[in-house]
Amino acid sequence: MHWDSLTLHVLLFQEGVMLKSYQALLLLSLAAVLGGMLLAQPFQVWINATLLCLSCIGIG
Amino acid sequence: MRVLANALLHTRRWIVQLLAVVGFNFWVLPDPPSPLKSIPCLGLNCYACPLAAYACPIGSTQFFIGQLLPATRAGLADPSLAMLLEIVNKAPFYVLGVVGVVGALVGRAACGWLCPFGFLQDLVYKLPGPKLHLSNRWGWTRFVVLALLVGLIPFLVGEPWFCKLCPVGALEAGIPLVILDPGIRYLVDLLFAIKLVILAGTILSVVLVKRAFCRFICPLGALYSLTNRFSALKLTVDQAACIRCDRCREVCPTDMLVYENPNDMACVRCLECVRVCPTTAIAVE
Repeated sequence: MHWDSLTLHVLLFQEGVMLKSYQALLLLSLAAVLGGMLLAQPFQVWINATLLCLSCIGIG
Repeated sequence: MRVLANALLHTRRWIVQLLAVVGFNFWVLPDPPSPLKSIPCLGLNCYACPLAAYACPIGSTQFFIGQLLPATRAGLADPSLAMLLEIVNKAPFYVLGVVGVVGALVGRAACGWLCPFGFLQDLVYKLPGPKLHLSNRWGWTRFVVLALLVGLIPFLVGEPWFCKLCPVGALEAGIPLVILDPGIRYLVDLLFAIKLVILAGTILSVVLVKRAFCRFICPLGALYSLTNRFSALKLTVDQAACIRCDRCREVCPTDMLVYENPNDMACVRCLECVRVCPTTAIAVE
């Protein structure tokens, strides 16, 4: 792993497969989204967001 | 990405911002609630707003973090694979993943193009009054807000303390709900008054300082800003062509000296500097 100006190249899986920093972040984030979906986190987000959240008036 | 950058360069930003305000807040039905609330909104937009169609990413993050400590305690008391999964399930992978995907592609562009509160700040700054130039060196304060009010305090006490103080929540949800719902009015107490003072202070600060909330307070902006260095959409400055005329700073919503660091964490990727640069020294990479 090394810095090349503003680009972080990440060695992945095997020698010669290089990812630019945004590609690495994109892959990591997509994995997080998919992992969260497997854990049914979107449903938890929905439940939380559809409850009347009284934090908007400073309580709850 | 080049196609997107070209499209953005030829689009009036306020139109996109206006469309985003409507797009994030169009759910007029009280029942059923919006099924889109399983998706985090890309800007700071309170999910308690009566019209909100999406979930607030910062509110959702606090919701998960707030359950992490009880789940961990239960897991330690009764170690098992199921309890381990339960702990893992309380880490906000999904919400932060969505923010990461957007950040990886366009950096902080969601702040510049989509965030309703960012749009409000752009409009409020146009009001007449004294204008102050604050350095973006103070931008670390938004990371303190992120770490304390979104991370540590919700983790320790299990309550969404950024939401409790959030001026966006006060504006989009607190005030409308208190006006519309007589049943909520009797719940109002000192903390609501504090929220209103914070909202008033935020609005006042935005009259004086460009996007003061985005630059010094917003935890979502803090998350997005971490991706500015890495994102696919980046700005470059041809230092030989730059004449240091400061036109970029005049139009920059976050008061950046673009030629010093075009991919500074304060940059909201509005691309106004690219449009106005008289020597076309600033470009989209």
